[in-house]
Amino acid sequence: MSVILRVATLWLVLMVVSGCATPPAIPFDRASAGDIKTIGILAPAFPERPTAFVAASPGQSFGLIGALIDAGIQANQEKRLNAALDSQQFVADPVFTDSLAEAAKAQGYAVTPIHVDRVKKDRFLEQYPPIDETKVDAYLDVIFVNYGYMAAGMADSSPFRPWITMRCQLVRASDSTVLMQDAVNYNPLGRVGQNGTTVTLSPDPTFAFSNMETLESSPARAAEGLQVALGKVAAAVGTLLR
Amino acid sequence: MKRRHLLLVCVACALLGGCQTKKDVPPVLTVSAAECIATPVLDSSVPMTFDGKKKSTQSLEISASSSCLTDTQGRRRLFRLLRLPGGDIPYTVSVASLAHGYTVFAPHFMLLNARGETVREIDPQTLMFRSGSLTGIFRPRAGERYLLIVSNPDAVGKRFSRTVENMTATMVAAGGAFFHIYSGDDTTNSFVYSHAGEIVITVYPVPTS
Repeated sequence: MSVILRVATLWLVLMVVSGCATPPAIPFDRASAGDIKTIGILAPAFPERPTAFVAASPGQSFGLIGALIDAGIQANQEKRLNAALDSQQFVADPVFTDSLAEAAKAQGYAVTPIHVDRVKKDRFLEQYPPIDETKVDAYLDVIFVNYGYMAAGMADSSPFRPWITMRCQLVRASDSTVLMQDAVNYNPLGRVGQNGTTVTLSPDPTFAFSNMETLESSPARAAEGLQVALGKVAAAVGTLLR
Repeated sequence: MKRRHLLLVCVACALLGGCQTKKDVPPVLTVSAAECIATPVLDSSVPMTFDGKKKSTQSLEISASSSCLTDTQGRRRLFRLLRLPGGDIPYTVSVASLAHGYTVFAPHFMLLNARGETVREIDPQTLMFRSGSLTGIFRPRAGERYLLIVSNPDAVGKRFSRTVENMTATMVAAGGAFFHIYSGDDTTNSFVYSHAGEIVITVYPVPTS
């Protein structure tokens, strides 16, 4: 049953990220934000494991029975994706955090990594660490809604590509004012020409696997694809901090 | 039964019509206007609407026949000038350049003061694709009165490609019942930046989180 719940959640996420439900972005205005020199990068919130998701599958047309079949297929694909990534000792958290630190430094900030215990992994922290402990000017809070691989459909013409959905915000340490808030989606689901608020990054075309068997046969490439995607998302956050 | 099917086809067409991509238009790669001005005329600015509470959206076209500006390097650029909303309520401005087929307006944004002097330029490197439209988002500062949207000759003519995952639902009739068949595909399109195109300007209050 939890697998069905997970599929339903992914569907909901897709509707949110591809539709109109994304909250409006708060752009960062460096000149009026105060003297922000040091950013504390909070340990990002990641889902427990990478996701393998097929956006459109035949089972969606057949109600509960179809959902059960889809859930079974997805659970199997996720298991295989995780096995492939585990074989490469791939861990997303340090890959992303290092890239994010580099991206922030490239914009002229000093960075301090800050460990936080997150009770709720699907939302920003409600309370940030005391400023006298961290000695930073602002906190960068990042939540990964999903990461892994997504295919638009079951056919080989819609390959698995790295897929990331995340939200971020920059909060002034002295008074918790939100200085920037945005969402980034790597490998978006939706048509070109739409007007929306989520930052959408086109996937690197060199990392596409026609099906899960192909991905499994190249686990190093699969891990590299996700690593590149995380780096591009981190760079996008860096751009949001300009 | 035939009438029912016809009605269904009409409904499907109406729904699909809303999903059509914009008609392809050839890119404007050179500005051939007979005369270009050095500074925009403030009186010709288009007012941006915002009541201080609700999000407001307006669409503008920049075409080959739009006003032309000559920059300090002598380059010709098409432009539109907008007057920012007044008032003390802080707001955010989002300017999105929409794809027309495979053509995208290459934008450059400048903020002018009441005398028409440029007081800030939005760094083109900060423009990002948001749901498929090249978008700049910023908060106007004190003293900024006008938004100058001008084509960016450094970008015009450059090509880029974007890949998107698509999902479509097709309604199928079987045994007197109707249900959806879902399918997905993966599309990579090549685009070119143009001096002309469509822009959508959205003004919204600064969200309180």
